[in-house]
Amino acid sequence: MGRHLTFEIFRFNPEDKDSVPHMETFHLEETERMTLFIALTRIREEQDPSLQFDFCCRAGICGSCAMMINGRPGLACKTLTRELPSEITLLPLPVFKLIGDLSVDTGTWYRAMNEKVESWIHTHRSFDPRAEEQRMDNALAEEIYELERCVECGCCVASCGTANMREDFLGASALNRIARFMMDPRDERSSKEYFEVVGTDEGIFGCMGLLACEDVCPKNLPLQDQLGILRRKMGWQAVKHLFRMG
Amino acid sequence: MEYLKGHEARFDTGVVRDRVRRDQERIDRLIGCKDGKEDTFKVRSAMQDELMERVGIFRNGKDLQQAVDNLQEILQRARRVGLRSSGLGANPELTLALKIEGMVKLALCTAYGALQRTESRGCHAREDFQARNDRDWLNRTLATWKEGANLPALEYEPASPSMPLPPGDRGYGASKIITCDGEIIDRG
Repeated sequence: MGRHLTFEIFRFNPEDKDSVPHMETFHLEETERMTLFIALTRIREEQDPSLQFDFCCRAGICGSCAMMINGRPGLACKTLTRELPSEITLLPLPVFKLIGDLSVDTGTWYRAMNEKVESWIHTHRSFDPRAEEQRMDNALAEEIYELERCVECGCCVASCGTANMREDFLGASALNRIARFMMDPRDERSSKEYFEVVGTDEGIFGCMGLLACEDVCPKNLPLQDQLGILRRKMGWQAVKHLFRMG
Repeated sequence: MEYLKGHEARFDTGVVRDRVRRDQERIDRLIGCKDGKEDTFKVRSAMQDELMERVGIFRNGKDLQQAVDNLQEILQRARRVGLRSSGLGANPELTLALKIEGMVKLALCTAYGALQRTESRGCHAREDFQARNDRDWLNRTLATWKEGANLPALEYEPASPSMPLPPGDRGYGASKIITCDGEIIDRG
């Protein structure tokens, strides 16, 4: 027989004028291999059909189910209830706009981020769909892929001290994105051009080095290393800039 | 821009307005439980159970017929769903309630199409028709739904005339093939 689980869940529906933000308690018997996805689905289907939370893939790929789980950002679909105490508190991610209950709008934030860091290959070559693809060294392709694995769930942003204090901070996933394009030989942007995007307090110099981003990343991205490398590169660029070296 | 030069575009906003009004009426009916009080989540579970139990990878005529009969009843229930919650905002119950009838219809297309297809093809095995029958079934099922009907109308169109890789012997499992010419190849 499973444990008796008690859920404290944040409730607020901004579209309902009678709704006020509050915590609501739900009870559920734990079943074998229960994840928070299963628990929340059961609560919605059996107890309160209005409960808002986001899910799509249930397998840690789509990145839509990030929430604060007992105070820590994580993907609900990858979190087994047996890893948690029997009292579970669920809150929506901070920083992002609330849609309702546990559901937040990460899409608008990520769209703006991708536009800010110009998250595409910058090249003067025109694309010929009939030509053979440009070749890339396999080891490099794998290194780039390692950073490409980001699912834009927002856990790193929610856990970030700077992002919680200043709205304009790019956050680890944006800096990871930039690191990915810096590695890519097809992107023709110079260090100076990258510096203009991330060489500020909104970018790499706003990072306080708390590294919660790496601790909570559900995809285990090497954010600590990337932030370090980027900070060093941009630091050099700042020094060069001081001495007008280009 | 050059392409558009000298052209005039007319948009009939009435089409949008009518569609929005129609959907708003549908939403109001669901919120007001005008068609009934069926629990939309329970209807979905019933559909899922039916597909899981009788429309699996290994299927047979008797079970498929049962599934079609049961899904037709579930379709009637889907047409009677009503909300338990307010339906305000990004409401998950309303989202499902708007989709459920279409979902059950799709389930019926699958189950009814499978019932009619008296052969085993691809990864779907009819226990009562174990051969892949290219003579009669080398075709594609087209399902359409007439307004108010309780079953889809099935039509068939021939498979692509030129196949770079025609269906062949898979080299595993029981492989009985009725070829286009009606020849029966049985490798046990």
